[in-house]
Amino acid sequence: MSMKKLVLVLLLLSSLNFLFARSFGYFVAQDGEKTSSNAYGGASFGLVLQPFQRSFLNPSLFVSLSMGTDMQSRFLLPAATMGVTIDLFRTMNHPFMFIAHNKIAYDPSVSVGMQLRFDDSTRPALYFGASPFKFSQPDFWYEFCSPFGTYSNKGWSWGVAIFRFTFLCL
Amino acid sequence: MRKKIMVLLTTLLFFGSALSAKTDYFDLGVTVGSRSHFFERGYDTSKLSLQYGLTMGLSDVYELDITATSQLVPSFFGDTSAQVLIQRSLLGFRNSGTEIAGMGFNMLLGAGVGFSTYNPYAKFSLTHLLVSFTPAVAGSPSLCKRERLLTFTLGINIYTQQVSLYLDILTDDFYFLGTYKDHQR
Repeated sequence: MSMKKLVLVLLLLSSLNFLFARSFGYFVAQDGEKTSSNAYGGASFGLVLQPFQRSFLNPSLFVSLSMGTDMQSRFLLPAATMGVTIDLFRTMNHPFMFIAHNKIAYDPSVSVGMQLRFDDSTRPALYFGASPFKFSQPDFWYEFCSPFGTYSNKGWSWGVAIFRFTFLCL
Repeated sequence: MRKKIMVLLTTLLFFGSALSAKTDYFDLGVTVGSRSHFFERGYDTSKLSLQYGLTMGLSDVYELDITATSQLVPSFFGDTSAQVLIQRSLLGFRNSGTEIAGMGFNMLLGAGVGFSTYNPYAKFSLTHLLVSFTPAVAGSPSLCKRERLLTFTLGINIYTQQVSLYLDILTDDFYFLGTYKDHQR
């Protein structure tokens, strides 16, 4: 095989790399939310799909379901959310290497999406989120202290996810 | 203001004692983690809390943990309490005291006291006796990082005799003194 053909084959294989990288996974988060009339604390569970491996503005899709207890200690499902997350950039040059034993990338992100809220009356809502402390390995993401807000016909609510761990399994 | 002064004095006292420690097993780290407080709803209305503080190795098996717990939801940093615990590792030494990493998995059992405003006078004072158990500790001070999982801390309010539970799903310790880096020749 000539050198040109070999290079061509390697280029072709590398262009198909995304097919081999893990792109689908699940996450769990511990979070809480303050609405205009109540507050919730609990956990969120969800699925993510990250089809690309871009260094800048890398998108991923997510769906999640939050659950927890409210101020009267009643167990509730406050909301289901679907949206898109954009990793603003990914870098290995950052001051947070002490977070993990392995080398990790720093890739802060922002999210937008739609919610179906089940607290009070069932209604749609807009969802906004940010993860200023998001770190990633090839198949594992760590996120700490991620704020989020929602807007519905009942007004604004805000919350924070103390941690969110995502594992890409497929 | 008095609460801030008390926290500041405690921190200074802690740093002072830490810097004077000279044992091979001495280590010092920063603690950050989540915390939920159950069964004391009359005083604590938090739905999500953050704990942060310092952890100090006293010997190969004993450590001192001083943490503050601040409510995040529904009131952002609207309520803060403090806990002081002496803990013992149950599966061998917690820090090898050498450049060798040693134990990477452990368990912790501890006892201590809590300071809060959870009393009839709403004054920041000694309010709780604490007993704590951590079933899984991954990492060690030698490795610079340690994770504590599913820590259960039972608290008895000495004013109301109410028993409550602190549940810490995940607590991270980041060590900056007493790690393998300090023992490298």
